[in-house]
Amino acid sequence: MLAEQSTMANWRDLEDSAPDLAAAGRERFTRSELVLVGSLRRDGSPRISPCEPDIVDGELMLGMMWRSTKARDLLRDPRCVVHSTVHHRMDAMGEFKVRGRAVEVQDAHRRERYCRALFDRIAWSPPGDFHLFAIDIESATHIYYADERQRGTMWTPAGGLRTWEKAP
Amino acid sequence: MTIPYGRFAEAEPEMAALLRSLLDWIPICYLATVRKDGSPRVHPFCPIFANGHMYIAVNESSPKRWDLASDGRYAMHALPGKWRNTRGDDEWYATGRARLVTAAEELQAVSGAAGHTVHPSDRVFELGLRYVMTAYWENVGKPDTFAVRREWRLS
Repeated sequence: MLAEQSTMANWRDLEDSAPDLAAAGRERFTRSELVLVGSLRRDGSPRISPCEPDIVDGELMLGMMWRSTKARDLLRDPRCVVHSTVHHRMDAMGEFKVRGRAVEVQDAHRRERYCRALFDRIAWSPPGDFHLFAIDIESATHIYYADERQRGTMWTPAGGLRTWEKAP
Repeated sequence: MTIPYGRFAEAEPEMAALLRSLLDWIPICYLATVRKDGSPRVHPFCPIFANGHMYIAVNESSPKRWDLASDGRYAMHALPGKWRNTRGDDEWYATGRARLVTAAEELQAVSGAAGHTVHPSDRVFELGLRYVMTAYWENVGKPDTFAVRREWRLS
């Protein structure tokens, strides 16, 4: 009997299982230093907010201002999408998105590691309270266009890699 | 209850001008919708403006087509970053409800105004507005940076 496979993973699991896809995602997330996060408001309607991503110790992390609306969304309902942003008009690298659940990080050591990584990147770290979330990944998807076709690669912890191609 | 983009732009021309400036830079926004299971979905899109309305054309096989048709609630965000060094990452955020467009004359106007190909099989939705928020940052890169926000809400 096969062991039941987990339906959640962290960024390191993605890197171990699908290194090319993870590399594309890291490039997409870190080049613009900005993602858009889809979350759910109290009434179940969608919200979309900018956020700076960091990949720290094998985890995709999102730091947010204390009691910000998007942080309160994720504390109430952790379901979210983390979507890359283009960074110039002719950007042809495509889009990368992670669907998953945001888990609040309260462990002091992990928060310190995040603050160090953030400081290394932008010479600043939060002086006071802030929210920190690590993303449990349900799926990671890279979509790009080549030869007038849409090409996609999607990874899930249970299903592994799947690719497709279709007319846009 | 929502109103067409043009009526918002008449009421708040500076907020509307900011969106146009961001779209002149890179004509992409991001749309958040609600999936059937209630979780959020995010997709990039190119808004289309025609006759005082804002539209999105969606491929007939796109999952967001079903989100917009069944739930209709959306949030959108323009691409931040045009003035990153001086204003931080500008925000242009809106929420509202989508309406499926079926009138041939309206569909023709949308197709004519689009900066990209709208296929006959695409589904076109008007994005009506209920709330808009803009933000930029003062003292960018300094410890005392703060956001300057402006809101419009349909009363």
